[in-house]
Amino acid sequence: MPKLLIDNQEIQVPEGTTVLDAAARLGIEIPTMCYLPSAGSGTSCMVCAVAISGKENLVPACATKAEDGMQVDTRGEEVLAARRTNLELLLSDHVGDCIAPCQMADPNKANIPAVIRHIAAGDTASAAELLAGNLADIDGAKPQRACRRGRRDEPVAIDLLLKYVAAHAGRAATAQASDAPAGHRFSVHMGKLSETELERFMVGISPDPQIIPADPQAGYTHAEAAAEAKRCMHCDCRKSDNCKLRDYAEACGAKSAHFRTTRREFIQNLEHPDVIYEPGKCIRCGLCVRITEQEGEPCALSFVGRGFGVRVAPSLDRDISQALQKAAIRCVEACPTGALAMRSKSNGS
Amino acid sequence: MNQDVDLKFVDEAIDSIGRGPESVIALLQAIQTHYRYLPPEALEYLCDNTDITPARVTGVSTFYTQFRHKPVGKHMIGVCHGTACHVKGAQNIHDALDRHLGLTDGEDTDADELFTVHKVACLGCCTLAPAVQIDHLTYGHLTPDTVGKMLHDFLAEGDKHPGKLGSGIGIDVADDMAEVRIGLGSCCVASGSEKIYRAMVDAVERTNARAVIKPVGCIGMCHRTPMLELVTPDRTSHLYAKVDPQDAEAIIRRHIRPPGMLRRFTATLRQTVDSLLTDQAWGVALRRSIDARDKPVSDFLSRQKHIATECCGYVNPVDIEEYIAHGGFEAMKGILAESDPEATIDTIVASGLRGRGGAGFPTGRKWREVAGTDSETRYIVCNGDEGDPGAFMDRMILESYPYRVIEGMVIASKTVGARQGYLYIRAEYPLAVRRVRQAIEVCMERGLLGGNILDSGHSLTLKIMEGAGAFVCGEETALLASIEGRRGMPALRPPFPAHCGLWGKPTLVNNTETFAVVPWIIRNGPEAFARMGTETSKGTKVFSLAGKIARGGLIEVPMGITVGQIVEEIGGGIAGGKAFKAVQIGGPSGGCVPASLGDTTVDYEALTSVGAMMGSGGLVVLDESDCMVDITRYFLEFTQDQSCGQCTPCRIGTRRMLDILTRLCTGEGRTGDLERLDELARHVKQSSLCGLGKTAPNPVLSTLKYFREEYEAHLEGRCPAGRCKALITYSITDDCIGCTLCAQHCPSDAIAMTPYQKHQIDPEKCTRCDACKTICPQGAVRID
Repeated sequence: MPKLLIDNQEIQVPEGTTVLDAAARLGIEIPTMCYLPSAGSGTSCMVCAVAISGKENLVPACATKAEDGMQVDTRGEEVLAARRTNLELLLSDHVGDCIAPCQMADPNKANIPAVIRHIAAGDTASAAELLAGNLADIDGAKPQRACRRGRRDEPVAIDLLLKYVAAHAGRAATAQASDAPAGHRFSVHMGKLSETELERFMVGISPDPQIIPADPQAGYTHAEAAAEAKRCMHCDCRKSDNCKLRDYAEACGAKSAHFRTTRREFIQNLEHPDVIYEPGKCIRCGLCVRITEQEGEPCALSFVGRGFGVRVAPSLDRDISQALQKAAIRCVEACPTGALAMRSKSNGS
Repeated sequence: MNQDVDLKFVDEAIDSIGRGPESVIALLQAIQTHYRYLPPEALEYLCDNTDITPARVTGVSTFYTQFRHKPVGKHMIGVCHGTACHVKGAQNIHDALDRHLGLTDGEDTDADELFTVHKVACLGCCTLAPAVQIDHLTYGHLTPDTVGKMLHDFLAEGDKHPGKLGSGIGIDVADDMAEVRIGLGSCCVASGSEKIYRAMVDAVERTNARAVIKPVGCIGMCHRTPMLELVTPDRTSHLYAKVDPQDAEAIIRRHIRPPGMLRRFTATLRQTVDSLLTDQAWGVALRRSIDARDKPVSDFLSRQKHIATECCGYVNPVDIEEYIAHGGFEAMKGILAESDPEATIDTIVASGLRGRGGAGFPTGRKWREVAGTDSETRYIVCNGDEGDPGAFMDRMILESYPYRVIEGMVIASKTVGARQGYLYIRAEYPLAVRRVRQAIEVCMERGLLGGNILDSGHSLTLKIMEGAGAFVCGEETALLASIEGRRGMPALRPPFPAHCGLWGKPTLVNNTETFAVVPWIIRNGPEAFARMGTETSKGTKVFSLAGKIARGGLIEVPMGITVGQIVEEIGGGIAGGKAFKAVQIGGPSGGCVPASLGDTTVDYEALTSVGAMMGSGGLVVLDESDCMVDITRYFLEFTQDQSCGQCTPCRIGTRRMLDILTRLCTGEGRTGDLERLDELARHVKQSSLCGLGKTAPNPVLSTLKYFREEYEAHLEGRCPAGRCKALITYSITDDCIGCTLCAQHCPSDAIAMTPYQKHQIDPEKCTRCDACKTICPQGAVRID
């Protein structure tokens, strides 16, 4: 049983324990992206790099076995700087927005891409639900100006689409809550409430609710709205709140613009019925490659090419629905970024 | 794509090679040889009929450079982009080829599907730089201007495949016969020694001379190839350099009397007629003749010490009798008869031998580690995956001394207790593969390999694994992955292969040259070896000396010799009278030693301390016209492509370094770029997983250290050496005599033809191909 020092704390661990696991026992969390207990280590991301006294180079904690007398440093200046640089390198080759530009530009930060997907699917109610915060004072002009589609041809008519939702989602109401600071308005939409229920609810909060009547005659027809919605490029990341790269980058102060360079093209692959694959976001950690192999996928994912050009793709040029027949959920859960994400009701895809 | 691919061949390949996952590389190689690329149908069929998964086929077939997924033209043109070729203008040759074949936008095959052009990391013909290989033919010393002629010549001549060479095995040499030795290493062949060989065979037949023509290994004097040595029955040696096939008969006649009076008479008559009708037959022979006592030759040879290359230039590589006659297998017999591996290990430790692959780990210690493991099965592997551009030592040793490498492996295997071994040899070295294969067969027949070798109770089976083109496979863990039939992805060490190697078993991995010196050490004793060299680096080291050097070639020198001595004394200094600037040592893992540090000794520690690295032994000499930023960019372009792509610092870090270097070379450098480059280089060195990544920044760090002013000039948009195309302009000075040669040779019509008047270059049209400067007889083309 090797006994070692991690950040000056002593611990004894069973033979074969990794430095990462030994640190975890001490409550020291070392960030890692390419390692999972169920799928092993890819010694790829190097975000878990730690310093070991007597060694010239940093080593990946996820694959380095604890040895007797080892002195490990997981948060020295040198280690933190290396971790940050590795994250910045990953970010420099990570294409795609965490938050879509339209959402960033929206004063209410509404999930506009999801709204648009609901519109495209003809589900105006769900769209309205997502817009609950600002149905009363819809302003799609700013998000529309930010739309990436505008660089290719014309931006998606976000303003008209949002107005369409407001108009077709039944009635909306805004109110000033009696116990909230002045100007702190909130609104509800009444997609699922009857008018009386809505009024009763609003009065409970505010003495003076404003009910805005729906106007189904205004703006887009259903077909027009759906057609326009389909022009959306879905720049948003479906895993923006569940992304290790984003979390660690924030925690370590890594800046995506540190290495300014030309980016790869953004590609969205929708061949799989349940999975969205955005290869530009892949950090080549290899977890999905190992998982599809473990699961015995007949046409597993594989690394293709090598060097800077290496990418992950289904073997023999098949499409991704063939590569992820049984392992889709495990792969999506394991994927440390938004490269693999599930389509779901909540994000409208 | 072929509509109907006949898949019968795939079945045959599976039957003869195997159906396990470890066979995948060999199977893909066979399929590609047969179909000339990897047809998707064949790959599907392979997966359906073997234990190899689609993921394995996809991963492996896209990892190694050798494999092609698209059909190719009738002939393959490999443009060498090795270091020596790069500094001698490989890119200009490549551009010229593209122009001639009308290739644009990254196309690689011409419209007629006659030629496919591809980049080759290094053909290992560094002394012929810049070199191009079309199918089996190698063309050297090219200029953009001669590319068209080369294609024309190839179409006229190239299809006539040269006949097979006599193997030379089993030729009885009577005492009264002369011996004509012709170097048939790959670079000799590339410069025409096969033609000389055939001309000599013809000449001997015609003159009935009592002489035997013998192919020998590399002589090392690549700068004078094609060479031949004629040894008369009285054992005097006559060397001929840069021989032409037409000289064959004259050379034979000069030294060997035809037998019998009548024949002598007719021969003399014919010779007289010849000399009347043609060139002065004797004169030609005399003109090509050189003497080993000539100063340049003796300088080239005298400082050398042949240990790994013992018997250099006079033994037939595949003739086992000759090897035995020169002490071959004696060391092995001694070791096999002795039962104490510890004693052998002590001998190797005492010799001070360190790994010749570059890192310099003490060989004896490695052997002890493997011998001390607790395992029934152990493996032994010879690392012959010499991927560095600018290095061809392993190729030469395997081509010229296959028995010596095998002997070294048998000794090592007996010592560490391995019964199965592999020689991992690059597929780009077909001659090496062929000779080693032949040598293994001969050894098997004679009981020198196989079960119970020479009744010693020790057994060793050797297999050849052909590497499929991945520099990273020189890293031992990647090499083992490759033997197992996987992508060549390195693994974190520890565990070291000595404990957990091939298929998880203890494995001894040594470099080709390391194995090649082992028999010498055993025969001559460790003291003899340890007497040569420095405190920490003993014995000799083989280098390939190339670049802007007067006498390039393959040399073996005692450790401790200085870099300056190699360049000035052995290499004869810079060719063409330019100033010596630096030596690039160790290829993409090494660094540049500036001329001012010429006193640096060849020693693992000394080279590392100046920011270079012994590496596997590539030595590329640079002169004042070489741009250090461009050289560095060249190496980073290589490493970012050759990186396995596994770890972040190496995969993306090398690319970001390349981004910065490319910016500098195109005049788009930004403030802070040098600091960013330095910082990033240190980061990649410190946190990469394997040796490739840890050493990839060395070219950057060493040039930043010694040639910072050149980097700063590039930041200001200047290239002091006049190499970076975006930063230079060509113009014609008043020395122009209006000969119109430049205008005739300009491939981009940038020079209008104005006879007897000063010419002018249109900077908009000029592609900086250097053709005008090369052709101008007046030196009137200026670069600013």
